[in-house]
Amino acid sequence: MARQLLDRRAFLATSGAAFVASLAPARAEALERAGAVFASAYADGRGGFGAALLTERGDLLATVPLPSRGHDIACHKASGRAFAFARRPGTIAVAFDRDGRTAPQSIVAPSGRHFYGHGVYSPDGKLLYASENNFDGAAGVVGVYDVEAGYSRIGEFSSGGVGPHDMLLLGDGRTLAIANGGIETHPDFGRAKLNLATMAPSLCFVDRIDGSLIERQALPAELHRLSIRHLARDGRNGVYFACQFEGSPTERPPLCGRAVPGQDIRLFEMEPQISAKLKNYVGSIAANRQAGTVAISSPRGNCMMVLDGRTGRVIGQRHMHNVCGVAEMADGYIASTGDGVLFSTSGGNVDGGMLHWDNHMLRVAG
Amino acid sequence: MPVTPVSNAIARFVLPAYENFSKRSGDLSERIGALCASPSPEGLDEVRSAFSNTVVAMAAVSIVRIGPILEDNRLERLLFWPDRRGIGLRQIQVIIAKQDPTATDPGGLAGKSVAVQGLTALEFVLFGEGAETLEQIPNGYRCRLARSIGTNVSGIAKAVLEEWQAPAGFAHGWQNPGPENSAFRDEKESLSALVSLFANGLEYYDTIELGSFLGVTPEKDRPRRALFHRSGNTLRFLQAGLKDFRELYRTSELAALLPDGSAWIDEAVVFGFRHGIAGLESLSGSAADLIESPQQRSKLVFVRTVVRGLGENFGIDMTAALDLTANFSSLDGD
Repeated sequence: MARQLLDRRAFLATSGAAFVASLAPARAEALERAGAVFASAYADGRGGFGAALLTERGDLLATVPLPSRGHDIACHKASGRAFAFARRPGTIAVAFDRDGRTAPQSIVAPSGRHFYGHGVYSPDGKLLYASENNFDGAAGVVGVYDVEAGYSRIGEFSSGGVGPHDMLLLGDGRTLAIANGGIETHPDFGRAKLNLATMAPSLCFVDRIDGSLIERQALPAELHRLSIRHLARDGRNGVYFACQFEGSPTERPPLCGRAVPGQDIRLFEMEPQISAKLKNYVGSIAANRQAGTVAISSPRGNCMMVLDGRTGRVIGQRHMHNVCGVAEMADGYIASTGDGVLFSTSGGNVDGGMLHWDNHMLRVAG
Repeated sequence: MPVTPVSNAIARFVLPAYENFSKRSGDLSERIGALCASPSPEGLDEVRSAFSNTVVAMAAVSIVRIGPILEDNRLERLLFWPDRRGIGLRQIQVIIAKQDPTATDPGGLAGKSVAVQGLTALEFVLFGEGAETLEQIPNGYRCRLARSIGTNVSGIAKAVLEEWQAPAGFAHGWQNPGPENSAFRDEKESLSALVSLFANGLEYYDTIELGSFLGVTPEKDRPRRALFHRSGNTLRFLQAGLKDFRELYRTSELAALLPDGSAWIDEAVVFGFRHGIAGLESLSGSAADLIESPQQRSKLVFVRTVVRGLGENFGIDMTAALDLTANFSSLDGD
């Protein structure tokens, strides 16, 4: 598969916006005051899309235009490299530099593949792994990109299931945890779900070095419509996962749990009224290792909840219209909404700016 | 207090649509039974015509993607489509080739793959290669298979109708939101579900029902992927579907909720439906005819553009005007 690289200058010219190559003084000051820096994709409300770096106060440090709607962002903290994935079934992702030292670069998925919107860097920052769809084969794959060779795609391996979505690296630096949502889609049919009657989601642990499947974990058969989609590291040796239910809206299945290699997958018991509030749909998940808690959000239910990381018991709830992005920070969490509002445990609410925050937030520094 | 547009939609569109589908599929099932008992070319014509009527009735049912039809894989069992890899076709051909005795019993059929239980499978049995034997062989395997699928479809249709009619069923919950109602906690949630039928349904119509066979460019056209192309019902299904959306919009009286200053949305919607439907009414022929003639193809592209605009009128404009949760992720989330 030959890599395809759009000409950088052409991309910047067509996107009609310039990248902030170095931080302006006011922004540098904002960075100075910030406890942490976060990244999120956004829609600008005028038909444009991008990725932004921001503080918990909502100060924008930099924006990078994207050619279409983005989804999650991966970041290699030590080098400052970042990668904004296209929302599925998008095929153009943009690599950029957190510190603005180099110009952004567009990466196009090879023919026959599209991005699913998530991915992760290797610990040394030399490789990038992206969840992708081999749509004619109806198979999930992990695309492997060589960062220093201009993100050339050097290979791929199976994600272990259909419809891989979120993906992260366990603490060993070698085991990828992959949420295979189980839903077959094909770009010829937009975002329509083609296999709801037979979908079979799984959570797979895959060796990133040789691509071998270490373990596939699945939920009980009666929950085969519970799509496992998002992950957060649990700070020990496993992951928390969050689900979206594709079955009857009158059922109220549990929506999140914890998975550890070598152990049985575990769903947290969830009161039906909690699932009801979440509208059977969790859009994003983050974990705060110090606090031992997990945060989940539901843009459909207009709420976020904080759970005890060991029992899954709900210990806090907050109503927020159109909330989805959540990320951990020193004393709790930060959450973002499609209306442009930010809420952080330390800073409270920051009212909507110009940007509509997309589904995910990531802490990239601090 | 019941939510008026939801009550209107249920009483004036949803229940009649499901009643009609139940009646049409029951009639189809009976006619297949008669054909099996005494096969004739006229009998097969009658069955095929009853199939077309059932397809038209299905168009109305398929835009009401909420409630009982989402239980037990009913929608997929009635209509396994899109089927990009031709799973349904392959499976029904295997059943016919092997003369699988368990498939001619509706109970046995209901335990098989959802892809062989509904209208797309029945279409192959009635119109596909070998269908001419239906007018010759009394109680032949193929006819008994058709009867079994027909019985399964009309059984699902009846079950869904009964659930819609049940006094404390889904319909009651949708019309009567409240804190104790886990599916619809307030009026906005009930209304959002109604507006979503248009926003998501029109997006589906654009990207799937049209997009499955109408490519971005003529080189990407795929007439054999069109729904019901084998029976020549593609256009009929599309025409019925857009008219059904208009009927659902009109009878629900959703427009009455629009605040002053947003009346233009109703005008845009009425305009869109009128021109989209007129465009479809000016077309004729099979799925292949629709795209092989440049004039017809061009009209179909026009219809798609209109439908896309209608989807935005509901998903963006009306959602904002009625202060409902923004449908940021449309067909599904991520």
